[in-house]
Amino acid sequence: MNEVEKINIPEKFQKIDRTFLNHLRNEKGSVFMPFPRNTSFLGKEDDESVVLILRKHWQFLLPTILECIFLLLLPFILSVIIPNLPNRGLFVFSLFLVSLLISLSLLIYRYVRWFYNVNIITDQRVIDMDFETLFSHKTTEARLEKVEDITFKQIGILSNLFDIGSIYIQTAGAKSEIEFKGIHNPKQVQDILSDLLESKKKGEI
Amino acid sequence: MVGNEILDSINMVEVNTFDFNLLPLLKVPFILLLIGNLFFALILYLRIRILSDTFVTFENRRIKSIVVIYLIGSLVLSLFALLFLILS
Repeated sequence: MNEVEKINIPEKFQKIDRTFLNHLRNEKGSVFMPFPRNTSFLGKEDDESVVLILRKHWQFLLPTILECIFLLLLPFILSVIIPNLPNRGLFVFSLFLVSLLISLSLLIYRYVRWFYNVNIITDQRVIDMDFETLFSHKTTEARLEKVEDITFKQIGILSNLFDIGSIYIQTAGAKSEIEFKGIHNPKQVQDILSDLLESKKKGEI
Repeated sequence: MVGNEILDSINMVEVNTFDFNLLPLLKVPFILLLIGNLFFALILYLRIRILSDTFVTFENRRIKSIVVIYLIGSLVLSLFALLFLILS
């Protein structure tokens, strides 16, 4: 079975002939999930279909990995700086266990944050779920009819090399805009959103 | 004989050196860090339970398992780290 057949395209989308469906067929992964199965969110309508789920690119986890490596090396650096510690071996080993725990916590926390920081595009609205800290969670949503302008930005060498950027969705009457930050292939996402808006306006979906 | 001992003890000057060991003081922040880390793991576990209701996906079970393993691992590793810190 190839990748195209694996994607579960809802019936109402199968009738429309638009290029965004081809984009959705071409890519699949944790950062770009077209028509995901068994996926829902709080407040989802019964007739609402999830078109696309986006997450930040994997590149954003790289600094965390480097931080963890530094934390693991820290006890050994400390043992070199303070050489005449009594019971040195045991103390350094216990410090290593502490740094192992801290780096593990950091890694798990950042992974969970990455996992739950999702941008959802449905056939009715766009949702930006932000799991900012351990004690704060923010959800912003806008109905497709209210979307006025979609902009994408790609700034920096790394962003252009890895094809990472941000999407800004401006809605009518709203001061703040919805941001999809650090997503992979922003141009394609902009195209998908534009096509989806057009289909919605023409009553195709 | 007794007189000599008395004279010797008079001549002996006992110097009380102030013996200060830095190691037990160094251990305190690490022990606090371990307790804080355990508290963090517990809060993260509770947070995941709420988040998995907000965003429902087939991968939620995997995330929950990872966090449970992390919580248990943290508990075990913290106990070992605490034991070694006290012994050192």
